[in-house]
Amino acid sequence: MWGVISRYLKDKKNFLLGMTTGILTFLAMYIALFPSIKESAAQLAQVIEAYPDAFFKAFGMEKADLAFSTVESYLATEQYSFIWPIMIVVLVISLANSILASDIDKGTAELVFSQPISRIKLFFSRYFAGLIALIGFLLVSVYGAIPFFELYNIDYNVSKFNTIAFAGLFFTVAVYSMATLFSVIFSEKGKSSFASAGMLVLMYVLNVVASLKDSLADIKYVSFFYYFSPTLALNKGEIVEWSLLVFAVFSVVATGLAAYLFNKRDIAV
Amino acid sequence: MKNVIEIKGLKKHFGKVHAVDGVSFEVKAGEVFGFLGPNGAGKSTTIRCLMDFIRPTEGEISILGLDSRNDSVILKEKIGYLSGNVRLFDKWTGWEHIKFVESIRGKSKSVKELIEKLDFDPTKKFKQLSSGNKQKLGLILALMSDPELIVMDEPTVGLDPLLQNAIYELLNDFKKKGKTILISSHNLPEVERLCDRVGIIKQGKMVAVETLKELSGKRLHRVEVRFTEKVKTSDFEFDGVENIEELPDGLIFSVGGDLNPVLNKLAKYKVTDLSITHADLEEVFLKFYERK
Repeated sequence: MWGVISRYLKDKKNFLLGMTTGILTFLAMYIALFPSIKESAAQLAQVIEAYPDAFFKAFGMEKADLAFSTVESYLATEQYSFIWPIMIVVLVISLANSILASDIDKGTAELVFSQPISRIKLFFSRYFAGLIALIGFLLVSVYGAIPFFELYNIDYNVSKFNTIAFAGLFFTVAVYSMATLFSVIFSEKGKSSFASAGMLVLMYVLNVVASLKDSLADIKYVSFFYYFSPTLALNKGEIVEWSLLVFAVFSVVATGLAAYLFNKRDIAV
Repeated sequence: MKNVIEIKGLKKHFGKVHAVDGVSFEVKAGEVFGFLGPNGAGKSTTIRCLMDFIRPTEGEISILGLDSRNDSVILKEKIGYLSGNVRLFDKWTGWEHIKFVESIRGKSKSVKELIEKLDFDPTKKFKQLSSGNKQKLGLILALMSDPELIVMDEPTVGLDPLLQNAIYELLNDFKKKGKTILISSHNLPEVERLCDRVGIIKQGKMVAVETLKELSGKRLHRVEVRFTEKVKTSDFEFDGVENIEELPDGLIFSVGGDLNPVLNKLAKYKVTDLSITHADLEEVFLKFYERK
């Protein structure tokens, strides 16, 4: 099992280093800009005031969230509501594809599946290897901000970063479990990636539509983006009610189903 | 001799396509069994069921007395598998592939010997290897754990004769050690060189399981002969001769089995040119099994 895990992580090493460097570069850039942004906070507030309410609803924010009076509210908007989820999704899809779709696509499945290792063990070895990589990325992408705060003498509230790391972990594992399921169902990386990305875009759109139209408000409950709110986590240090349970249940069901299908399906190269 | 592989009533359907439709055969301990058939006959599907890559629609597969699906992990410790046109990880070197297999199967005692025998450079990445060297790596990975049973799906397809010979020699060494080998092929000379018994599959059904001697008796030859004088086609219409075509100065026909009656007949004419070639296996199938 360790052989499969270490091999998986070794194969993803360069990609993970690239993604981690990328997210830290964004963090460094945004944090470096924060002192001057804070000085212009009053002017920014006036600009924000001119925007229609629907604009903020569509992005699940309140005008107060964009005050940028604290580094948490600033990063919640600039980093954790935009760049960070995109990078998480890219990383998650790539890691999940390596569980099966990539092997079938490249024809390497015959080498892997001709080895004396049970399918369930192989599945969970790769699943947990991906999870280790994701948790590593998550920790660096959240707590990697702290050295930059120290560097620029910026006040911060570490408990709010704990909250987004915790909420982000559950969100990330749920997305990863969904992408894993698609990787097991489809035999091609392209199809699997398209299904995962398509499902997330659909969830995002449903969340926006729900916030714009009161009669459709309930459809927000089928969207991951309702349950994961970076602005709520970083601005107020709070988590959306029931979100951890929803993400946990979804992750267990999707992963269980993926493991069942992985064990049952034909592996034809 | 006990059976190492027993396949009973194996069926594998992909929707309406019956890729394998009731295949049964046994492979005995220590023998080299050739699994023959034209492209699309069901050889690879049968082998994939055997390796538990795909699951049968119906039927039973027993290997070394164990169930191929329920005891898949134990069995794979004892099976070395190689497919034709082997596809491995592009960015891994040969050594990395070897280390990966060792991380699951344990340290190999014979890998260095195999590398030397095949004159293989394991430091290169897979994507940098020629198709022959890729196949060498696949062979090393299949044989490095000294398996009791070797399963090969058209392992020499597209390889040059030198490498084909190297593979035949390696397989002969394994045969001498008493290992059992199942090899699928549509290359008759290869089968003649390696195999003790053959099974022939056509359109998903087993049409014959015979010793190589029996198969040789059914060999088909294609005869093209030119004469100084006009010869009647009816002169050659006797047992074993089929598909006679008339040429302006000769005949083309197929001969199944013994060639001597045809040669005796030809000796009675003045022949200006004569060519006798082995029909390929596809023709053998068509001629001998089209009625089955």
